[in-house]
Amino acid sequence: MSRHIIDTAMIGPSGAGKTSLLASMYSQFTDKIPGAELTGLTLSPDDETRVWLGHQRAELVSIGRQIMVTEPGIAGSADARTLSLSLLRTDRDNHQHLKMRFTDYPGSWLFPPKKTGPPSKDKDYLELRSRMERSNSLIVAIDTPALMFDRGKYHDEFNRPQEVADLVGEWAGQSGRDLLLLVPIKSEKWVRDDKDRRELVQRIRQGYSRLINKTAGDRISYKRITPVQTVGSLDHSYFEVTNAGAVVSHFRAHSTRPEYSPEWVVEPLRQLLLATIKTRLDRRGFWEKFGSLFGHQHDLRRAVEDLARTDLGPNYQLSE
Amino acid sequence: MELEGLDEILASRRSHSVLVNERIGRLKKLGESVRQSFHTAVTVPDVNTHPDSGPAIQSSKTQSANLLKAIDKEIAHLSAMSARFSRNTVVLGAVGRSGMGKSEFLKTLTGLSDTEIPTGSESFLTGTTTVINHGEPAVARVHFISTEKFLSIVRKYFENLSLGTPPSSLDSFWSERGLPPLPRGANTRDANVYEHLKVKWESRETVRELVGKPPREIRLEEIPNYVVQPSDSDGRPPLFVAVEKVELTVPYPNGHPLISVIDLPGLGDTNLTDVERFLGAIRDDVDALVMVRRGFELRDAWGDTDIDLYTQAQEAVPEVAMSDRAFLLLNSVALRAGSRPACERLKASAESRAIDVASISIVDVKDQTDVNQFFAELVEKLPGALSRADEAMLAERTAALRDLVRDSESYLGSISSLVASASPITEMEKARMVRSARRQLARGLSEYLNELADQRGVPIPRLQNSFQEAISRAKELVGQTSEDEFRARVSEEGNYPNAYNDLLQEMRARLGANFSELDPALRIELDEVKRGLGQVIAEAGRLGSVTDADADVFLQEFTKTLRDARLDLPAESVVTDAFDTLIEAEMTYRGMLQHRVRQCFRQLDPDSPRFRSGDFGEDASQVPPTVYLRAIDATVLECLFGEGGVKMLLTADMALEPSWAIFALIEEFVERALHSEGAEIEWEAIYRRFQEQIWPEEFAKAAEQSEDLSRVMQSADEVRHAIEELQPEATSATAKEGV
Repeated sequence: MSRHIIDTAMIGPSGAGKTSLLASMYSQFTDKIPGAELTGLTLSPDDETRVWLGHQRAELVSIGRQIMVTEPGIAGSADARTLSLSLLRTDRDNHQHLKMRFTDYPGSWLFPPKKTGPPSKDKDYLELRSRMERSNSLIVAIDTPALMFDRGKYHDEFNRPQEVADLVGEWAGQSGRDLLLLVPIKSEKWVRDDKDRRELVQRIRQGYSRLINKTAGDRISYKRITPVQTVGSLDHSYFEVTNAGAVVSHFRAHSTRPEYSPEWVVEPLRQLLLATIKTRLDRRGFWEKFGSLFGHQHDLRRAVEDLARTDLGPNYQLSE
Repeated sequence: MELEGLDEILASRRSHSVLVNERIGRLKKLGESVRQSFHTAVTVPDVNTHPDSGPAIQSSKTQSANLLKAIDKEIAHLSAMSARFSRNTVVLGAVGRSGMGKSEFLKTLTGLSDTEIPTGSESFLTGTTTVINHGEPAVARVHFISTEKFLSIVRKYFENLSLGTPPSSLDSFWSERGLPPLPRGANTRDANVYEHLKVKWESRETVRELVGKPPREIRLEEIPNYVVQPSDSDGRPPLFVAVEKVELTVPYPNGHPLISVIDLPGLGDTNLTDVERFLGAIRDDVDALVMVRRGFELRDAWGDTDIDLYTQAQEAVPEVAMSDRAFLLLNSVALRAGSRPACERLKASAESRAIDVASISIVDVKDQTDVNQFFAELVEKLPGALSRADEAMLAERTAALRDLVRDSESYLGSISSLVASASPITEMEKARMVRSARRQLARGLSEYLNELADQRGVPIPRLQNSFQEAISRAKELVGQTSEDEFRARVSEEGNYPNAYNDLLQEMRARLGANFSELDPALRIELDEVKRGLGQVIAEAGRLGSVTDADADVFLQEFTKTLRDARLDLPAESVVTDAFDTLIEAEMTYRGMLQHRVRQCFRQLDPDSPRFRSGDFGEDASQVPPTVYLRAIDATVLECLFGEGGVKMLLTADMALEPSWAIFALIEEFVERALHSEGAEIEWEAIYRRFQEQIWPEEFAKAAEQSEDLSRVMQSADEVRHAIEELQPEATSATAKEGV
């Protein structure tokens, strides 16, 4: 575990939208941060990540313009993908940066397809568990339609809350954990107003009660829920069981002139920064405060503190 | 041409006639066996001295008497039919009110003269029926009315005119006291009717000698004396009063050898004899009617008398449509200038008066060409019409035979009961058997109810499939409208938003229509459950032998049998009431389902759509049609499959509720049929009534021990054989096979 890096693992079912979340977060960063232009704060991927995220974004823009979409999002890959980004503050004199690393684990590692026996015996699962060790923060992506449609008819099948709870419980029991974030993705239809959002949060708390119980006694103090709208223009419409028995999601545009318009996608990043700053501040000796994370990058530190101060989307405590 | 078609009909009729006669033979045998079996049953000492057989004897007696009466009646019907089918000619009957030109028409048709067919004139009216056949040598035979028939006609006059007790013999009618006077307050019509009766009374000297006498040959010149109704001034005796009909065989100068004609008396409205003759002749003697109606010059129209005549002709043979046996001839008298237009008017207005005949022709009955033309058209239509008419009559007889067979079986049942009531099995033993069967029935029903209870709240697969099919059909509507079709709609509606709203509305209607036919699956499901219940009653309850009905209609037939069996169940029988309620129970989604399905389509309502037409942008025509179409498709899909959509509605509530409703229905039945007050006694009565069918072996064995009862059962076997011989005809699918 590096002191100089914010390392985040992302888990969740295949197709929940983890990759889309990252792509939208990157694409919206500058637009959504108030005063980002003044402070000169930007999110800068390394070259490989930049190409890849650009590609994903283009796909999301195209999907966002459709009236009818079947299973949107980016096809999950079989390998874990690590994206490296830097939070930069650029001015005439210097380049100050904070490194961030997101590891997007394929859904199949957590939920091995067509394999029998408990996941704890599975090779991929063991690999996942050991690699997650190094991450200070964890994002659990939730397939919101599966949680909400027809009183959560597909929740267990898609989101596997029991398995997720066991895995997260183990991870959270270790020291040096900054943040546990539950992110309901594809939640457009259920976050239209405050009442809807509270209902959604309530359902998450019910649907993940085991996870909440398992992490209740741990030292990890930042446990939040941040709904996101990764495309913005699409509402979930219905599930279809195909002749082959697969369950497929169908979406439709919210309006007749749909455009890619993600919302609240930077809020998870803000939560990461906030939690990291706060926990590391608490954890280290007085002289070390900030030192190891920001070093002498005071301007960057101020900019990040500013950013962390303002809500960029609704956020809730994991448990009441 | 004429010969071929008619020949064929006559030949086919002759073959029917053979079969009809065979059926008459079989019915006679049935009648004889019924008579014999009843006699045996009530005379053997074991039965008539048995203390318990009184009610059963009474029931058998009533049934056998009714059955024998019905058999005789059917034999009479079949005999008339056999006579009809044995004829060598097709018989045309000319009917109409007096003075319409019937006799004139027949003369022109056959070429015969006034001698053979006396025409009514100012002073002559046809008074009785003349049947004329083509043939040589010429011979005329007069048939006189029977004494019974004469008295029955007189009785009609007495009743009609309230003249007191009708005479019971010819002597008492023609007594010197004369006729009773017409009561005070009689109207003109009554007075006219009375005149007809008076003619009968006053002609006693001549008529008395003739009534009831055997047929007599007469010379052709004498025919008018027997046929014509003389006027007061004529002075000739009214012999027609004693005549049933005159039968004349004579070569027709105009040919038509296969046609016989009947000149029916003109119908006045006061001569009761005429109506009787008219109806009798139409029923038994006539194959096709030519209804003759003259067109009158002044203000002529269809009147009540015309309609009455048509109705009487129709009611004489109700099973055959008038369009298969009646031809309307409108007589346009050449000498009267206004007659033809009057006929045209009558023809045009016939349909509006519900006069439905095979053809309507305007003919001058004195004009040979006109009559020939009419006849040619009639002969062309006759084969088809007659074959349909024969078919209808045969069907009627087959239906009657079916009733007879059923009544005969029911009679056999009464004989079996009689035997059972006199059976050597002790009353104690019978009571034990009945009680045990009733308990098994109760156990079977309660087990069936438990099975249904377990199914409550479980979706019914048949319903789910039918829902799934309806949903799949509805889904096929997606993507059906092409861009071109949408553009065409735009030009029709004037603009894009209107076209879009119009299509939304149409989709909503078409989707709704898909879910209007879900009832059959529900009906079949309920029928299955009723069928299962029937099976329990038949098997666990041992009552299957009570009726031969298929499982599909077991409950109905069982209930009917209970009723027909005259069990002396109370007027408000709890058992039959419970059955009736169950049989009549139906389940339907109609209304309720429609209402709830429609709610799922709210997003397609142009007043509150998922995508508003206004949202497509200020210049709607700039939006490609495909966007509108996709928007509609997306809406349709969400209405079907989305949250609160049709699929969720159907698979949740609609597929589950019926299993609760069905359970409730059967539970109520079991409750009422088994546990109501008086139910136990009713079931015991039912078991007792059918005990010999339910325990055939036990009863047969016991009866064998008694010589008397064996004899009764043997005589019942004769009835059974006679029924079996008739069974194939009664159950045949078509009327023709039946005979």
